[in-house]
Amino acid sequence: MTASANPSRRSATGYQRAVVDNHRAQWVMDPTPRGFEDVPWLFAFPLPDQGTPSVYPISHFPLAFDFDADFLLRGMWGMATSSSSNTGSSLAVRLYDAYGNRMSDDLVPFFSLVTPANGYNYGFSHYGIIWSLLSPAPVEPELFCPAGSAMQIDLGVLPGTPDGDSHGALLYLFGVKRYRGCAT
Amino acid sequence: MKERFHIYRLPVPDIPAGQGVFSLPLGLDSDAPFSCRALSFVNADGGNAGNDAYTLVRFKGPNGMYRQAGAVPASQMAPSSVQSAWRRMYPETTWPANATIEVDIENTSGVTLSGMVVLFRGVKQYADSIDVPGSSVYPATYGSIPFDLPRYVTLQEVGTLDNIALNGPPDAAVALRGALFTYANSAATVGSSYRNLFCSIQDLNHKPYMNQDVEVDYLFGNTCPNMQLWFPQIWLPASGIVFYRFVRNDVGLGVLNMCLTWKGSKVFPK
Repeated sequence: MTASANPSRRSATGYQRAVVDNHRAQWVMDPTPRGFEDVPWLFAFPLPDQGTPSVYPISHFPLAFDFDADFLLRGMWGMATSSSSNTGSSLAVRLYDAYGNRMSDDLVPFFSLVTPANGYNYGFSHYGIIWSLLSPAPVEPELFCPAGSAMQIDLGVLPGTPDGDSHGALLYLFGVKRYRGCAT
Repeated sequence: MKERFHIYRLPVPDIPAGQGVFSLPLGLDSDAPFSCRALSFVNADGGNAGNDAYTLVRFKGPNGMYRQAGAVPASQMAPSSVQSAWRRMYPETTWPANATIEVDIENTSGVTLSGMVVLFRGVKQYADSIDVPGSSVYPATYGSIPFDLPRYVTLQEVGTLDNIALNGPPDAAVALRGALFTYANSAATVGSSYRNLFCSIQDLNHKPYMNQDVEVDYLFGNTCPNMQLWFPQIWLPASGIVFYRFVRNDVGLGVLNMCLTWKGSKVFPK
């Protein structure tokens, strides 16, 4: 990824110094490279529901991807899978990308993770209820996940969560599978 | 030219029914011109600013001439039914440094208009030669990954939490694009809510990105998730620091356990 550069900033040796760039447009994805085809794809991962905060945290729970193509993660959404009134409000997570890099420096409230900018998202709801047709929370920038790789997720609960609460949830990962040549 | 995210907040005095305030001044800072790109009207403290159809507004541009042919219902200048809603001002309007924005507000309802606030959102513009903390400094080539920095805070009914530090990770800069302000745990804060909760973000030199503490629902997006995007991004260098503070005055509304999730991207030079 290359920032815009002013040629006049090149030194005599041609080394390009850092440039001041006030803004890089968000959610502008790179076009599909020549010779590849991008197919929209959705992975749905049920997250473990142990039912009691005492068994948390759960570390490095795998979110495995398919082997047939690389996956570019571009959005996330989440939904509760239990009838507990506190589900989701007390679940906190931390994601790792496909290379093991943490994507936050602490556990993030789950519905903060899956919330988009400037758009309604009641995505994290009570059991079985989707409050609205939602836009996923954009993943900025898109995340490259090699074929057969896996992201990971830590699961925990926030302070003050009553014991015995259920925290089952579904995590949806939106993006594209990138096939070499023709996808079909 | 470098741009720096900024919000100007103008509290409006109580306006009796059928009356108005004219040329209400909002003095701008002297350090840089301000380009306004969005504005919004806040119903503060449960005041009667809710019926925006009866609140008429207009303001003067930098040349002292009104930008509207006549006073316009606030609901038509900015959406009134959705919290955290900003009305885009396009094209932008730029006032010079040290200028004054004059605002007229008329109350055509049958009750006193109270608790209204006008917010102007945009950028301050500085010459390239000026050091502006928080300006993005993207490397010529870099890689980036999404990165969140959740920070948990407990807010008493009344009080100020000042000088809270957001420390950047040591391995990479983070381009901050916004933050979500949500209840950390609804089970622990049943019955709690907020009405007068404000926040101010400051750079490492404690220079704020706003002239007054701003309502959290408009700076971050409220717990009905509607995160506001900051433009330009606030650049948090590796091991850098940004400060913020909360001010609350909500007697009887309970202690809040909140999570402020700063959202952005780690930037790794290649």
